[in-house]
Amino acid sequence: MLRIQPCEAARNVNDSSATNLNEPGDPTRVSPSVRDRLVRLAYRFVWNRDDAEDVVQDALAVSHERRNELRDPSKWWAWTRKIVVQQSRLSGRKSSARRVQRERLAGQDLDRASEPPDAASGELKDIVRALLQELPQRQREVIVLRHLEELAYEEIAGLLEMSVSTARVHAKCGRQTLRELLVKRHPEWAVQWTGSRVSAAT
Amino acid sequence: MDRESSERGDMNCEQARLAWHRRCDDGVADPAVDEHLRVCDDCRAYHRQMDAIEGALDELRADTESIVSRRLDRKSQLQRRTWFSTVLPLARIAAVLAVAAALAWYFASTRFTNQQSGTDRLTNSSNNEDETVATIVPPPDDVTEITLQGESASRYLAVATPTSRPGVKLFWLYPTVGESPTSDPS
Repeated sequence: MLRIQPCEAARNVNDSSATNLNEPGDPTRVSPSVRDRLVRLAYRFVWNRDDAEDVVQDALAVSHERRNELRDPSKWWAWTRKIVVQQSRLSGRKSSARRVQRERLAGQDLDRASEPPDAASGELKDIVRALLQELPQRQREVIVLRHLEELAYEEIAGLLEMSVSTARVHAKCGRQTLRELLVKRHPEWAVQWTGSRVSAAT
Repeated sequence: MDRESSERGDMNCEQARLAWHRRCDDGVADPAVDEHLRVCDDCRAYHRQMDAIEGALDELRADTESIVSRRLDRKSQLQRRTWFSTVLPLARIAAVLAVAAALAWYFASTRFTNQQSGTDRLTNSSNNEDETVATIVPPPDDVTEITLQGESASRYLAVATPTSRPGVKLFWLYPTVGESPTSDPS
């Protein structure tokens, strides 16, 4: 029952096409499809559209500043994705303050209508999304890259600068932690799945 | 978890749970797991819960795919709106100007045509006895006779002027205002 396959979009964007679309005049301008893939990647880490756009903007600026470090231009796509992941990590620390400021300026949260609902909606996917934020950073990153971005463990290991076996362990631990948190915080779900209450320790 | 419960079937509970992750990551299904799940409620619950979490992650992935496309839709709508907001006022102005120009042309050409045709009718009136020329002749140049006609309620001034046809006069009738002299009590 292997459900994880490389997604269609991943097949459509390869390193060489992405490199050609990076315009030298404006470092933050790439083709819309490449940019959207990067925004989607960032969104799955920060769960806020504006923050994701900011992350990608910052990442593209960083990738332009550090372009001399890229020896092989055909690796631009993987390299930029790695920067996006790093910038998403940084964004998590400052996004709360930025969101509060933005809401204050706008008078209301205009994004909220288009964002996925939080765990209060009661749907399992929303509960899982909320619990993802509570996972240790490495576990969360591996889970997102594996299950939401559908990357192979080799790619995940490259992006997060770890070995493949470490990435596998993080994925396993992340899923188990998700389950434990779920059973502990939402025991009603455990009953629904199993027909009997199961403790998180089992 | 006691030893008895952890070694039901050919594998223990730890192996059965690891097998779920192997199946999830590599697609490797172990028949011994099914044997174990048949007799172990805890591991069966574990597998179901992990399946549910995996399904929720799949849903999240699908949701976030559509979120970006929704953003693209909104962006393209905004672009369309921007395009329309630029072009539409210009189109409106152009349409108003075109209508105004068409009306001006129409009225100018109609007036010119009426004057022309009026002259023509006057000129050609000798060829057609039934043609009415009274309403479209040019202003009279030589007035031969001016009379006040009609009753007090509908009194008018009649101005007679000759036409190109001998013995035929054209009368210009001007309605008058004010009281009739006959109705004056003095």
